[in-house]
Formats: sequence, C-alpha cells, structure tokens
Amino acid sequence: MRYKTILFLASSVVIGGLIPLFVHGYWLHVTIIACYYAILASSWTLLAGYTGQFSFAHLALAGIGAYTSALLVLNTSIPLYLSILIGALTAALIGCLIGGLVLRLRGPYVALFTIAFSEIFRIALGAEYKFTRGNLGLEVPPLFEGTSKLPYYYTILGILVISLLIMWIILNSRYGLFFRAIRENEEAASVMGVNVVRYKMMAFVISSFFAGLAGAFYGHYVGMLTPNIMLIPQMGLIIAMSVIGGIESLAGAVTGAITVQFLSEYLREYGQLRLVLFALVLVVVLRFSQNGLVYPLYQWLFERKIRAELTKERVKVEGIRNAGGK
Amino acid sequence: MAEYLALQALNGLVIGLLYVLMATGLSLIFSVLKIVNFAHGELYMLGGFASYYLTRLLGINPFLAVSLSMLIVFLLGVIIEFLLLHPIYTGAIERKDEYAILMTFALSIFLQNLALMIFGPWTKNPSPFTSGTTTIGFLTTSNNRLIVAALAIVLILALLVTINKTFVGKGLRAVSQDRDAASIVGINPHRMNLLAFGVGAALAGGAGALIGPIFFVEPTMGTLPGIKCFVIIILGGMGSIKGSIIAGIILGEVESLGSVLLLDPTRGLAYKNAFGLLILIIILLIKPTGLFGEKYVRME
Amino acid sequence: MLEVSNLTKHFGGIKAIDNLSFKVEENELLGIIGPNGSGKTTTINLISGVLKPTTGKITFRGKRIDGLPSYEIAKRGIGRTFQVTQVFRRMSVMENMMVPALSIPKSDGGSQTDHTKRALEILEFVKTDHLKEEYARNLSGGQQKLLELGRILMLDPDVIMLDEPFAGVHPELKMEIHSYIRKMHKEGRTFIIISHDLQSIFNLSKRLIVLSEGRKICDGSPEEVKNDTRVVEAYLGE
Repeated sequence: MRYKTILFLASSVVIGGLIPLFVHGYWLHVTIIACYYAILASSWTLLAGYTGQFSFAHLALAGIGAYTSALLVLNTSIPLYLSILIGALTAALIGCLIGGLVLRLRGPYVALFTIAFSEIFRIALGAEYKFTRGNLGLEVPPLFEGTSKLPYYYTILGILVISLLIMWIILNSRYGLFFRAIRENEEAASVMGVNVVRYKMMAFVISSFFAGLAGAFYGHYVGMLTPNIMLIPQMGLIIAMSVIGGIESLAGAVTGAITVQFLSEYLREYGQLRLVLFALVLVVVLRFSQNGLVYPLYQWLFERKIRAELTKERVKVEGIRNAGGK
Repeated sequence: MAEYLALQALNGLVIGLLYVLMATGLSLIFSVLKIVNFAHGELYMLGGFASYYLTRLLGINPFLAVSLSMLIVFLLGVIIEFLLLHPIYTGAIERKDEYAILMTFALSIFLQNLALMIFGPWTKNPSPFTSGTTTIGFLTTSNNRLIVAALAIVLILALLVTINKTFVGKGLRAVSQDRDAASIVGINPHRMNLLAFGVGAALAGGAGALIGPIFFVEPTMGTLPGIKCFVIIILGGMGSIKGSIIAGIILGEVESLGSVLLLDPTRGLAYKNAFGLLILIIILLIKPTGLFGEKYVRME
Repeated sequence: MLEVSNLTKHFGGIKAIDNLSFKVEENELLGIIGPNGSGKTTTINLISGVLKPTTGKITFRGKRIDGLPSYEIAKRGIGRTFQVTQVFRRMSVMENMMVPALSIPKSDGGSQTDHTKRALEILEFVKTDHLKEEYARNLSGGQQKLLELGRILMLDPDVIMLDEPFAGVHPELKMEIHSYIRKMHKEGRTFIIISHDLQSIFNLSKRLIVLSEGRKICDGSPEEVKNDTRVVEAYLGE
C-alpha cells in the first residue's frame, strides 16, 4: 500500500509540474488559489480530522502569517523570504497558544472559543487601521518581480507538496496513531499512556505553521490584504472542502479543496447561487455520509476487495475454531 | 453627558432584551437537544426578513407580523430538526458532537447564502410599530423602541410561564433532565426535540422580527448576534434561562456603554462587537460552566 | 506499594468518596465490592488520574501520584480498564494494541517489529489474534473486553485495575477471563478488581475491600466479608 501511495504522490507532482503547459492566465490563477486552499484544508484536517479539535481559527492563523510577513517587509529591512518564514512561525506560536488555552475545552466550546478569537482578531485588524490599513487594504510587496504567474505557481505547488509530505509522514508515524486515538477517545488514550496534552498541542502547532505559511504566500501573491480573508464564512469554505473531500484524510481534504475551488470558478457566472449550492452539497454530504464524499468513495472502490478477503479469512478461521471446540 | 450615557444605557437595555429573547431560544435548544445551534443567528435573520416582507409587501400589521414571523420560523425549525438533526438521536451518527457542530454550522452558511441570493445584500426596513417619541424625565426615546422592549419582555415571560406551568413545559424539562427516563414515563423525546428546536428557533425569529423596525434587516445580520448568544448562555450558564436573562442584559449594557466609555470614539465603535467575544473567551478560560449552569453534557 | 490516604472526592454537593484509606501490597489481588454508587469506579478514576481528589493523597512506590494526569500515571506502571469498554472503535485491533506499545518508551526499547510480535503474542494469549485487522467497533462485547485486557498488557503495567471485567460477559468467556487474570497475577502483577460478580471475585481474591456510600466498611478475606453484618446491611438495606 505504501508503494501505491508513493506512486500516486510522484505522479501528482509530475502532473502538477506540467500543468502550466496547458493552463494559463486566469485559470492558472485559479489553480494557484486552489493550491492555497488545499494547504489550508489539509492542515485543518490534521487538526480536526485527526485530533478532533474543531478549530475555527485556522484562517485567522493564516491571516497572522500573512499580516506578519507583509508588515515585516513593509516596515523593516528583513528580506522577504525570511519574513514569510517568520510569518509562519508566528502563526505556529499563536496556534500553540490557542492550543494551550483550549486544552480543557470540549467539542463545541473549542469551536466557540476559536470563532471568538478569530472574530476578535479580525475586528482588531480592521480597527487598528493605522497599522494595518484595515478594510482599505494593505498593499503587500510581491514575492517575485514581473507579471508572470509561473514562479508563484511553482512556489505554491512546492509548498503544497512539501507540507503534504511532512504531514503525511507525521500522520503515518506513531504520532498519527496517537492523534487518531485522541479523537476516538481522549480519556482512553490518556489512560493508555498517550500524552494527550503534548500531542494536541503538536497538532495545533503543525497545522498553524502551514496555515501561516500559506497565508504569507497568499499576501505576497495577491498583493493586497484585508481582514476579510478571515471572515467566518470563509472558514466555512475550508471546512466544506475538508468535509466534502473526507475529513479523515489529507488526500480527501486536498481533493475537496481542488474540486470545490474549480467548480466554484467554473460556476462563477451563476454568482451567489453557487455558494448556495455548495452549502447545500455540504449539508447533504454531512447528512448522509459523515466521513465525506471523496475518501469514502475511494475506500469503497479500492478497499472493498481487501475487506472481502479479510472477511473470508476470518470466517474460515472461526469455522476451524468452532469445529475444534475450546 | 449624563443624558447621553443614560440614553446609551436605555438602548443597551432594549438590545439586551432582544439578546435575552434570542439566547433563551438557544438555551432551550441546548437543554433539550443537548446541542449547540450554530445556525441560531440565521434563524434570527430569517425572522427579520419574514417580518419585512409581511409588513412591507403584504401590508400586514406589524404586531401581527411578529407573530406570523415567529410561526414561520417555528415551522422552519421543526423541519430542520426533523430532516437534519433527528439522526443524532436515532443512533445513526457516529460522532454526535462533531456532527452537530458541523451540521448547524453548514446550515448557517447555507441559510445566509440563500438569503443573500433571494433577498439581495442590501438592507431593508420593515414597517415600524408606531411613530413618535416619549419623554421620561430627561430621556427621550422613540416609542418604537419602547414597544420592542415591551414585546420582548412579554415573549420572555410567556416562555417562562410555558416552561414552568404547562404540561408541555414539563415534558420539555423532563427530556432535558433525563431523556430515557422521560420516554419511560410516556413522553416522546423526539416530539419534544421538534418542539424545542421549533420554539427555540421561533424565539430567535421573534428577536429578528423585533429588531427590524428599530434598525434594519440584511442577510448577514445574524452572524454576530448568533455568536453573542453563545456568550450569553455561557456567561449565564448553559441551560439556565434565569442566567441568560441576567447575562443578556449585562451584555447589552456592556456593549452600549463600553463603546462610548472606553477608547476613543472611532475605534470604540469598531470594537463594540468585540466586547462580547472577549467576555466569551475569558469565561471559557476561567469557568467553562458559566455563572449558573451545568457542565457541558457530552452526548455519548 | 500503592497507598490511598484520607481520600475524599466531592461532586458539587455529593460526597462520592469519604475519607477512604487503604494499602495495596505488591502482587496482591485486591477486590473492591460494594452496592451501586458506593464509589468503586470513582476510586479507580482517582487512582488512575482521570479524576483529581478533593482532599487526600495517593502514593505509589513512595511517590505521590494524586493530581497527575492519567498518562503520567500510566507511565509509572498503573493501567486500568473501563466498565463500559473504551476501545478505539474506528481503529483496528492491531492499532489499538500499538497505541500503548508506542506511547511510553519502554526500558527495553523495541522496534516496530518487536512491538508487533509482542502484540500478536498477547492477542494470541487472549485468543483474538485472528481479529487483528478488524475494526474494534465490529467486535462483540466480549471480544472488546478481551481487547481491553490485551491493550493493558501491552502497557506492561505493574498494577492492573479492572473495572467490572465480568460484567455482561457469558459464562464461558468469564472462565477465560478468570484464567487470564490468574496467569497475569502469577507473573507478579498487582491487581485491583471491581466487580459485582461476587462469586467470581470471592474465588479470585484473598482480600476484599467493601465500599458503601464512599466509605470503607470492611477490609478482609472473603470469609470475613461474607460474615460481616455491615456488609450484608449495605447490600440489602438502603
């Protein structure tokens, strides 16, 4: 199975690299934004789908990365690449702080706390317009000179691939096992020796770092930042992508992000209707398939065979056991 | 200056009462269904729009429109519970808490976008209840506001009476205390669910219908009040209606007075909405069970 | 080895545990019995760190453990099961076993393959190795209890606390669990077992503690307990 995954990853990277040959201009921009969302959705999945911490502050953390980087470049002589890194690290730090604060909270309280945090931050950014230019928009120096989108595309693709790789490695290690145990049953995990505090915070730090990184890139790509990037409905979009794709897998989140983003653009002419449709799809998917659409589909298609073989095996063994008696 | 502050305090009271009305609905939903309804703000918004269209398009008397709006939102609430939330209680859902959060949140996004699409993003003004002003001592305020405050009080009292004195109210309280025990004595928890969510929604809708005439309605108006309701029921204690009343009025006052007393005028106003959020965060950190209420009840 | 001193636990106005004190020696098999609501599970919750005592202290091998988070206590060698099985439902049996294997760095280190081998051995011991790839939620109630037992063995604790290991289990499986406990006890482990199944617990343990309304009302051999009037009253009267 690991071999299959590596093959899949490698081919995705190759395809991803070749995309600019076929896609230009506006649609390349859409692809770049899709990658941005993919990083956000997958890092959010690590936090929510794996450790069960449903944080609504994810976009605020991306915003922290974005604004930190932008303000550093504008107001200090720190080079741009370093600013982006500092932005990501700042987001990780704040994420760590939030993680520590919500440790004792359960379920909806985490959601409420993080919604409140996100909104306070957004309001503060808007109110302190002397620093941040608030809702008028902060102009951000671009990452690359010139008007070509190509370097931006390869940068975000690179960030996406690297972040997915790192997260994938972590999730397939013992840490991933602990994360899932925490989501399944935190009390039981703790009693089994899993340091739930450490790992819950680890998830926050990792996911916040990548959110901040993506946010910083976004700022230097789009060239303009307003507090509106962290509106709650925007967070809802990320959640929708993750849920529709499959909240329990990175691949699901990425697929969800790309699908939603492209569909959204494709249906742009329908204006407001497409947002209504997406929300409706989200509601329906949640209602009938709590684990999402994409990943369960994949499981159903590819793992059905494996399930069937295991079941046959089990029936055989039980038969022998029962016949032999105890 | 004193006049200005007193006027702000009065406004705070009116707004506070509407928060209370809305928050009691949320509290009722939490008590009986044991879920936090993230779509509450949108139900409030829909109530507001219902009253707008009833009064402006159909020319219905504003007082009647409030009742009708509440009825409409009640029915909507019942449908929502039946279609989307019912599975939680039939054991079909694996991670109930997660599902409730995600589903009600998704619902709120859906309703908000639907409203944007159908009603358009611009603000609208439902017909006022009445015109003119009243002067009490040195304070002058519009009669509209007074009526809104009065109606809010009437509705809150009506709810309290229903919960505590009627048979149906007993049923709701029974289910909120112990679902299984209630069903053993013959109360149908599913029906109580429908009722609780419907009534809770109606209360939010009522608040929306009441605020329309004194401010305005627009499709995104529900987001912040929705969050503020959480502040109120956490501050007052999850599941405690008495606590919600006190907390709601406190919040209304803090917002009105806080924005003029603290900070400079321009930023003060911008931060107005942040006060409630700040309170929420502080409460969650110090005492997640709120001032009066019970600990959060996990559903599994 | 394990000592509970003047332990008290309040829940709001309710005193769940009231000035409880007892000692557990190494390699003992202690049974805790008592009517419903007498505080048996609360005691285990307090020892394992799931709850914090209101007052009193708990020491293990001379060091205080009350107030520590449960993963710290697990690290020190105290493991427990739950009255209602708390397996990781959407993880496979093997994954369930690996969690405690990997969570605490063991003195003998151990690579992935070592852990896997050991997990299989333990699963064989509790006769559930054929289910190793199955999702825990698909197991029967009895099999889940066995999985919990296996999981705790992976932790390799010196003290094992079992909360109602015989509850809701059919007689055949009960005998199996009996024999597993005996075997593990022979290996040198210390046991604290809560049970309503008086027959089983009288058979297994040489020493019983009887709780009633959060207080210890008897501490002795099964014979002594059986004949103690206070115990009879507690179970019959209310």
